[in-house]
Amino acid sequence: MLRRVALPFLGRAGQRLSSTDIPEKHLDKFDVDNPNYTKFEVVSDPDVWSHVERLMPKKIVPPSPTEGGPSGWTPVRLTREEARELPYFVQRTRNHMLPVYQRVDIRGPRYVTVVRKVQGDPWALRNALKEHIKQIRGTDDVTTMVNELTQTVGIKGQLVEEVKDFLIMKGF
Amino acid sequence: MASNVIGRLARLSLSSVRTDRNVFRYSTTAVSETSLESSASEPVSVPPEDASVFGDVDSCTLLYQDALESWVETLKVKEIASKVGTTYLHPDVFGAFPRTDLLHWNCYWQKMYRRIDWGSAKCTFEMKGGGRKPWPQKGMGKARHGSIRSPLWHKGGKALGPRGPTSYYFMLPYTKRVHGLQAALSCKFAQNDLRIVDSLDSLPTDDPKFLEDLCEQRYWGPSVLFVHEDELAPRNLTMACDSVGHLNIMPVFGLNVYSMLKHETVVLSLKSCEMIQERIIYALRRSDAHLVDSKYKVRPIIERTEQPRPL
Repeated sequence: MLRRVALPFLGRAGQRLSSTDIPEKHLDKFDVDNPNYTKFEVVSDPDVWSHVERLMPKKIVPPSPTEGGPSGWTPVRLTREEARELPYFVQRTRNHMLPVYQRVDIRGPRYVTVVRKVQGDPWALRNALKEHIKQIRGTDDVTTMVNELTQTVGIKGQLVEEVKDFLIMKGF
Repeated sequence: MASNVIGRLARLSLSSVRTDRNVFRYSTTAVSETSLESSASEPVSVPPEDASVFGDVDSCTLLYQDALESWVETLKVKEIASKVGTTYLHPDVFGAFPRTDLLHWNCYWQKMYRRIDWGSAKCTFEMKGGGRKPWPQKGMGKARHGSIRSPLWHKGGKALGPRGPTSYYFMLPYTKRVHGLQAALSCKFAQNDLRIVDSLDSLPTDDPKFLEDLCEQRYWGPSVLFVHEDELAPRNLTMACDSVGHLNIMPVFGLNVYSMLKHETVVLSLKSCEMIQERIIYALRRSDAHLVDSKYKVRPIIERTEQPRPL
């Protein structure tokens, strides 16, 4: 059962109006004198514009924050000199996240953790990652894959968090 | 044919974050026909470490990769030593990993989306006549038949034939188109097949022979694609390319993977190079990239009235 809530602060805009109630000449919602919409005032003050701009959707993703947050997200910690010594580099996505994903095959029994956007030598990353996972799991049974064409490295298993921790540890 | 990434207006989307550009630098010696050897001076500069030089907000690519440096040539003279300066290029646009799978996807898409298969054949019931049983079912000593237009018959209908004009239209996802352009530009740059000239206006004559000699002396391949920043290319270049089939001009918003791969050399004017860079960086950084494809959806979106939900 739908319950109607009165919204007095919205003026007449909060009420349900059928299309016959609205006179056609008052459909312009940017008309200041339109009685069908909330009363508003037109301001041309450049100081207020920043408050409006804050509400508008951003056209491009803002630059990466310099400090991590409570969610566990961290920025790239590698410096230029450190990054050039490594044989590989993992780029962040456009939203500054690590490109580590879980792929589900055969509707569930097979999980592959995939690292995308690998620059440089993907085999070097695969070897380092394999060693790390071996130590965590305490077993030599780690199956990996490398796709050189799309520069992706995969590890069999549900290991997204482990792989992310490894990459953050490396500074990516 | 365009990939719809570099828009027709090529508007300045990142202008709010752009700083003063000092990417392009002229060499100290001016180009003159008498002193061609000294015209190409060695650039003395440090590659920019900050992505804002390119009008970019942020790029971790510059952590492990230097900004790319390219010569800027001029079309004033035929000779190969016609450098007027250098420019820096964004590694995200011109130095990306060559994803050959994306190149193939883009070429395939550009061939397929405009394809209409006009093949069509009439089936039994679309053929003229054949409504009458040709002979009685029994007693004739002949095989039983109900229609002379049966697929078994000569001049009969076609069984399982092509059904009318078929469209092969589909839209490649936006990011694949963007990364395809990125890969094509990067491949061309890595193979030294991407040349940047100061301006396409600098061609002094409309003689096709001059332009052909120029391309030959500079080892530009037999086929050259000139990319101009505007819809209207300069008159001299247009006249020179008009009678030569393998020299072509394209506006910057028409840039696409297929044409870039089809031509041996791609020649960008400095301004069109900047526009391409700006648009591709914007495409890589834009926050609504996942919404771009929605307008290319072929199936109609059915708008259902909202049903009241139980509280």
